[in-house]
Amino acid sequence: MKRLTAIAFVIALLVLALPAVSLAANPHPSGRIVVGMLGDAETLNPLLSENQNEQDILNGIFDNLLKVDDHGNFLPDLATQVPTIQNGGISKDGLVYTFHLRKDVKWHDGQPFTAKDVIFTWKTIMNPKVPVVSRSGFDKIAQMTAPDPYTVIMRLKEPFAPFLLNWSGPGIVPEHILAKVPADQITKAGAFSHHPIGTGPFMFKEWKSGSYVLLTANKNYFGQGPYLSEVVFKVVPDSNTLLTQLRTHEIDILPGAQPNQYSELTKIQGIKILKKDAAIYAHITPNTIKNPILADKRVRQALEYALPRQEIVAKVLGGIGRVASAASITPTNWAFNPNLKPYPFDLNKAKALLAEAGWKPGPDGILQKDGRPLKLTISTNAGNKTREMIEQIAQQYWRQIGVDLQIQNYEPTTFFGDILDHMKFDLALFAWVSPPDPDETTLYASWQIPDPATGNTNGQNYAGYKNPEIDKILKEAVATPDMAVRKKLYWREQEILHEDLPLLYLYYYQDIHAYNANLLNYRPSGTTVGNCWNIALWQLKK
Amino acid sequence: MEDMQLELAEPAAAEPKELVQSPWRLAVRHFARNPLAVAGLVFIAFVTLMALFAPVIAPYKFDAIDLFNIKAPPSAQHWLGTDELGRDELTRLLYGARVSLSVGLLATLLSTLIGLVVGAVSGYFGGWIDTILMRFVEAMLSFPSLFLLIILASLIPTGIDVKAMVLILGLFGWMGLARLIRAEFLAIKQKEYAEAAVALGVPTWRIMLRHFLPNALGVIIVSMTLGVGGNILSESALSFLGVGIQPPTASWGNMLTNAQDYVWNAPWLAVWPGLAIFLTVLAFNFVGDGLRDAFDPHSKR
Amino acid sequence: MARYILRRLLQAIPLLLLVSIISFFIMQLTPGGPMAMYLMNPKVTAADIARLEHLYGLDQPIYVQYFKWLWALLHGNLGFSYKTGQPVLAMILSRLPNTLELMIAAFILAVAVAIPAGIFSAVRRYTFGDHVVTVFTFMGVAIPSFWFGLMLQLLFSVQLGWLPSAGMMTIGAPFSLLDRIRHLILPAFMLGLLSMAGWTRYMRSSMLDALSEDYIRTARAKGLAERVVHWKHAVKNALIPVITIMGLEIPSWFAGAVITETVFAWPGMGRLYWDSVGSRDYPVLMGALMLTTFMVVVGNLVADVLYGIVDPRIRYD
Repeated sequence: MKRLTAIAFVIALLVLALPAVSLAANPHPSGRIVVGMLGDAETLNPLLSENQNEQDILNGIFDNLLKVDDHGNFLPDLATQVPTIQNGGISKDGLVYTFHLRKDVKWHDGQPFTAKDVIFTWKTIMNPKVPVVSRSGFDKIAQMTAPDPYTVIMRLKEPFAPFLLNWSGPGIVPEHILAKVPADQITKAGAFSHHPIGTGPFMFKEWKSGSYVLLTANKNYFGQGPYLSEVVFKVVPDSNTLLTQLRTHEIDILPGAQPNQYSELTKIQGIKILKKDAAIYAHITPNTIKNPILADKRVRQALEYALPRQEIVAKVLGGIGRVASAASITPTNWAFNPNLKPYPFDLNKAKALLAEAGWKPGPDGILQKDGRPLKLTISTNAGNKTREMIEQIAQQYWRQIGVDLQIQNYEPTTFFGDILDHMKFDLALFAWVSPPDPDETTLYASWQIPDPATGNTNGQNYAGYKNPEIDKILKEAVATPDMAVRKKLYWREQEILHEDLPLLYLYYYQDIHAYNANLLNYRPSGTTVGNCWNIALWQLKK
Repeated sequence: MEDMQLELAEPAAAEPKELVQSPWRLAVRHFARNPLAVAGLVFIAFVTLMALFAPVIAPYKFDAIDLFNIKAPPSAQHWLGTDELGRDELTRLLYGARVSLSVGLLATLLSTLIGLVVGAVSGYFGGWIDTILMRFVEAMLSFPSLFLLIILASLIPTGIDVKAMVLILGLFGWMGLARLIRAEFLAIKQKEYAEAAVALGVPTWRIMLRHFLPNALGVIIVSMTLGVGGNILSESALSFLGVGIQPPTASWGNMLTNAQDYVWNAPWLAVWPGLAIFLTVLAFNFVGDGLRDAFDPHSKR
Repeated sequence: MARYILRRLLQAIPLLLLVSIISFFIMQLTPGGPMAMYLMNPKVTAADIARLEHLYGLDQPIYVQYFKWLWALLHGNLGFSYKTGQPVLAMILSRLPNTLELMIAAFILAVAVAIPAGIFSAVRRYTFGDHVVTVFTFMGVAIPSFWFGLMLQLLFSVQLGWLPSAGMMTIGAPFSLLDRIRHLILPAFMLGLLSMAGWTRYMRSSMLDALSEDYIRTARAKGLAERVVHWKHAVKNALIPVITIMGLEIPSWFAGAVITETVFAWPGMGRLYWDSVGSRDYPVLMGALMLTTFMVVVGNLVADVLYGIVDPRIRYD
């Protein structure tokens, strides 16, 4: 019953969000919502923003041509429609994108929004004097023109399927303000980064470093809403304190509670709890280059079979998560292949595979081959309790198949910035966040193996995985904008990965969101789209 | 208030006679008469023995995971319950004592030794020696040891063991005591008997041993008892930097930090290691108080 | 006295220089540089990293970077954060008042408890009261701070509803002293707890020493009232170790109160420092280290000066 109403509700929302129905802004926003965040914002300039907390705040202040909803679908935002091949927005060869812009959009200072702002945004991103971290996708644009103030045409150098994602999420900045600022002063410290002016449903009011960011309703918002008069993003760096704050109603939204807090959450009055699949997956990367033992597919498969992943999810994560079937495209993604089943927990199968690979029991019960023991070292970022528990479970269970596992963890920045990047590990336990687009070239393509010897740090293929068929699929799949073709290719990719196990897949994350029961329309995405993509529609029940 | 005053007046007169007899025997007698001190000593001995014989005594293996019995409350099978991986809490506590006691004790001894020497030299000689040593203390206090630890942890491929950790904590933990001892010396130096001794031409080292150290005993003992507790807790803080013991090895400090995640559904996981640290530090304190009373020429019980 | 203080402050200059050189080079040796985390981002290429390193001057030799940093420092510029792009000085100044507020409150609390408790414990040595104080002080040493903070929150915020559970002020409300104090009590208590315990022990110990000193008997012989004898001479003398420890501990609160600041969401220096360690934000770290070094110098200097005030016989060379 509850689920039915929820579905009906979602459908109703989707209908409301359709652009054809031009809805006026809400003239009487009321109420305040306080969102808890573990970390502070560093900048409120969307071009320079690099962390998820900022993305949530910026979703209130800024818009883009498109937005992505919690199901991964594109919705029009500043553009009147999502360009497709069918509606002519994308040329058949996938090289030309045409966006038609809304004519009723005003910046928070009252100036009109036009195509000039879009072109300026792109030029700023490509300006070498501006410290934008990633230009991925924007560097594929050969030329951008505006035949009239409300049409933008982008011509690409080569087809690039994930291109629309570059124009979703908070991102368009005002030309009339930033064009006056010298390029080398468009920094995180610049005035704009601390007093941003956008087109979004909320306007920036106050930022107290390390404490909170306060936004107020934009009564001239072009879309539906906002219904709240204020939204506060409050920094509470301790997860137990976040829970306490929810309990005392000092915060209204706890995005991402810890699994161990779940039972405690259920005791709090006046809140709703939402379990949501997240586009994050935990895995163990085997370094097949440093340790040739791991280059044998059967060894990797044996290790996967010998991990009690069902129990890990049930006991370590308190049931908040899902055993990964294999491939790294998560169930939140449209390209996820549901036909693949997770490797079951099977010690006999694991032993058989190792025997087949030539490993024989040594005197101490540890397997040997050519006089070398089957000894491996696993590493993760020290202080991450969940990962340290998984390491210890792996240690105990793998010993049962004759594998000697040592644990050697590192300070987080050392681990991610040195041990991993420079491939100094045997087995590395951590998680990847999947982008909304299924393209994972940098993870699996053979040309994406970082090579410390040559100083080439491109790519995240830390496993050193090489498979010509995968290389071919990855190249083809980004070269076509046709979703059906891409889906077929990615399904095939996942089948190969399921068999090859370039990574030992562990589980898909789930997020626990707890929020004020009076808050309507809170729909976290579970992806990098964040929790605030529909913040304009948030509303307090009267 | 009144009888304490009387107490104070008496021992000074009795002191020389008793000291001539046999200071050590006297001290032992004093100490043995202090029930709290004896209790403290017995407790420490007990914990040390338990730690030494942990593999024999412990009912389970320290890393025996049981995923089907996690966070179990105390029961007949597991007297203190089980931890987040279903390991026996009592066993972990016994094994944890090995790391925690050796780190707590040895690191404190090392830092006390260094602090004592630096403080005594600085306070006794004064002048430019004092200036240099105290600037060195300040440099050590300001030294970004955090980064040194991160570098060390990444350079040593096998990780940092207990021995190395004792060295690290000892070498970065002596500055407080050095300043305390120095201050003690500055204060005592001005006193009549010290000045008199110098005037009489008594050798330097004898003045130090005879007059300064007994007076500094009080701060040394406080600093050591606080140091033991501090070092036991620091050991676990270091594991966040990848320095220190790696899982699945147990230490009281690590058990405590791990318990942080389970305050809601298994609060006892924090209670046992916390209690162990509390009782150990308290025992050290009582032993310290007993020692101080036993050796302090002024006090008498 | 003034000359002594001036000399000590002048001695601080080579110390600051030395610490800055060592820190600068040691940081550069730390694995995982400021841009390292970006390597994990699939959308970032090696070319992007090179471009950013050039923008931030990280592609120059270390000694060049150091001298640039030093030159800027001599002009009152602590550089710019890699992470927020802001001037380091502004970042530190935005956190410093909060840290000071918390420190002063914790200090007052700790002193108000530790000094009387230590004196009481010494004067009533081995009585029931002394034992109670002893047990409490060692609970203060052994209790994990995260646990203590959580218990404070559960009791005073959740159960009783008297005090806010975290933060520095009510968001969006105009400044109110009462509101600030209500937010300050719990974190100040948590930060002060460990020192409270330590200082009580030092006070007790040195008070015992002081009470047994010859001069107290001398003073008695001169016919002064007992009470005055106790309080004036004994307490003053017993303060020396406590002053020493305060001079050492308080500077460490500047960047070391991370756990308190985290549990109570207090926007202080400790969190800034710790976050900067994680992101290898060298300019911020250098700024914070210089501040800490300076505070270490000042803390010890104040302690040395106070020795002479509590015991005028202590002379300065």
